[in-house]
Amino acid sequence: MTKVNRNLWGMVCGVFLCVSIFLPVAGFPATEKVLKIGAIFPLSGRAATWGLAAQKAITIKQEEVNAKGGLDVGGERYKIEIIWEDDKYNAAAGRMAAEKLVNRDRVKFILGTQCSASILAIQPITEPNKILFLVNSYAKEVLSVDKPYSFRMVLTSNEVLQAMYPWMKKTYPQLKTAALIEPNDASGWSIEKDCKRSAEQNGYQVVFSQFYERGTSDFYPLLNKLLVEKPDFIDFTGAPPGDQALIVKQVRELGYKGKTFAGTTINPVQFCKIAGMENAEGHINNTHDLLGSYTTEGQKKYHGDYIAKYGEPFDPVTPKYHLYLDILVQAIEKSGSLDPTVVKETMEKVEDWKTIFGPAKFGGQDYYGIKRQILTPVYISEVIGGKLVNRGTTMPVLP
Amino acid sequence: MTFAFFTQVLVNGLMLGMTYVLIASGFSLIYGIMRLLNFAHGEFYMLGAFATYLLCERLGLDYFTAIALSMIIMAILGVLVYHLFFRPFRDQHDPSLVIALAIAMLIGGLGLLIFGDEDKSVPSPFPGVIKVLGVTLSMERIVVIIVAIILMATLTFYIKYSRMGQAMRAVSQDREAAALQGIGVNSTFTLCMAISSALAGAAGALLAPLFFVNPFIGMHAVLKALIVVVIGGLGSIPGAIAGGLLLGFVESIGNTFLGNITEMLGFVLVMVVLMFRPQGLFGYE
Repeated sequence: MTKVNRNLWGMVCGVFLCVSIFLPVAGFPATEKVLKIGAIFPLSGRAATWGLAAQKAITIKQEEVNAKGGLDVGGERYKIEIIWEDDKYNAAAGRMAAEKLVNRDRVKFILGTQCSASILAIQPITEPNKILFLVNSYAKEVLSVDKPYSFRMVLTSNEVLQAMYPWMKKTYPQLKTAALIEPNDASGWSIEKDCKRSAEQNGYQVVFSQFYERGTSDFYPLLNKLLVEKPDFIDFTGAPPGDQALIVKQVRELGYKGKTFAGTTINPVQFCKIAGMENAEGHINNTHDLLGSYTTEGQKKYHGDYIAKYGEPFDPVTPKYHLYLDILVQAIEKSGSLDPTVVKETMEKVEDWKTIFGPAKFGGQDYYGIKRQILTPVYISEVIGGKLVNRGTTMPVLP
Repeated sequence: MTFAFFTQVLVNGLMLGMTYVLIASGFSLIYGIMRLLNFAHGEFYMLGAFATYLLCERLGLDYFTAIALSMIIMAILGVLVYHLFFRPFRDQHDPSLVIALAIAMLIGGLGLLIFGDEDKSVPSPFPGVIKVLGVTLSMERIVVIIVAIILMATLTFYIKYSRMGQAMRAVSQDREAAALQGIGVNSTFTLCMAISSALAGAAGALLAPLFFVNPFIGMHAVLKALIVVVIGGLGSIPGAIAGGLLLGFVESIGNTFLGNITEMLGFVLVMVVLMFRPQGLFGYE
């Protein structure tokens, strides 16, 4: 092959690779009024499970609104267009995506990522530009008095654990000691603090706490050390679902007989396949079986919409992300304006949002210094015989 | 802390190390023969794991047949990738590095599109654990260690004593001199790519039942492989074995006694090795 041919072949390869990676998506006809909303999530990389789950739930809501003719803004109809950006669970990529959305796409509303570092990098762009930023990550500092345009749309480990630990204390009074395992990053550190505080507030002694690097798949060395402390239960709330299942599998292999616990949602089928049915038995988690007890009509509809669009099996991690667009749509329609400041003020005032989980409100004035944390019911389940069994529902009480 | 506890730490290190050896050996082989840092190697590992998942779960094949087929499929894919993408840039270090990264991204992206983002699992063909003197050994990990030892021994003997293995070493030492002796450089590279990809496929197939399978596992694997081969010596199979085991033991002991800073130890080890022996433990200048 000559040098010229090689270069030509190289260009063809490069163009093919770029086109296949960055293939654009279709938009709306030019005549329709369109509201562009930015969405920055981890759509690739290890945290993509969460980002893609959010994408599925948001898309369901987007299609529902568009099918009804669009958003009603003071009598005018707007179709919703979501501009998806991938932050790869990475602060630099998140900031770049926000710069593009704000400066090039001129969006006024951004639905945001599960990556705390990414959100903290994006907020210096959204706050001065008065962009309404609906966020997801767990870090406490994401909400503060100087960030009035940021609202958190999911319960964090803080809210979930504030509800789950008292339930645990009441249901399993014999448990006295806890061990914590969390990923070694900003989210993991923040969640570990929440776990430790909730455990201690409820009278548990934390006998072990260690972080691990994301991507770890062999937890034997860490668990070997943990077992020396003989904890009554292990809490790994901050670990992604796959890691949780691996931890359960490996700790059982090493002979652990205590309870396993995580204040996060899991897919029970997937969880049991990785962990093993016997090993997963009794695992306490924050997942709601949408076909089980405590199910609202909104949840049943969401379940139906999900199956119609994506087919079986249903992913129980997705419903919590439905709140993002659901509440934003309600807020815009209630305020009758596309001005983020007006919409923000509406979100501050309204006390009774209708969501698929039932009534919801924003709270956190005392804990975060600003009322920007969504509060919805917390569902508590156990894995029994490979299936989720709802054990109860309770509203979080912030410290 | 008891004798059983310390023994468990060492056994954990051995098991962890063998997983690194499996992933790093093919990566090192490619560098040794082709002088190519194949960042797509981790994606072959991922595809090997998915191939095993599909062969076992969807086609209902038995586990060992699935391992063999995964290796064959990955070998074929490796040869295709070599001829389509790497061969045109042979002897061009920078372009081939970029192409390797692009292929890694492409395979990762296609994996996400085709297989979805959910973690999948391969049912363990050897469930259960055995306890020896208070030390826990899971059956599936014992199988991984045994098969990894067999694979490494076979590879070492093949490279050292077979005609094609000798050709690989000749090409590795001096490409032009080897060609003058009648050794086909392209066919040697093709074979090297096939073996390396098959090893990645074997690693994916062997580790799939232990862990889980998703399109992102390749990225972490190739990072570990890079650390291992830099420690052991780029291009050296004994170096990959030594580097993998050393990293496994260091991480197991580090996790036990140092906790949260363990992940840094791999990089510290790389720096120490590079300071005193820049070519790696088993590499040559």
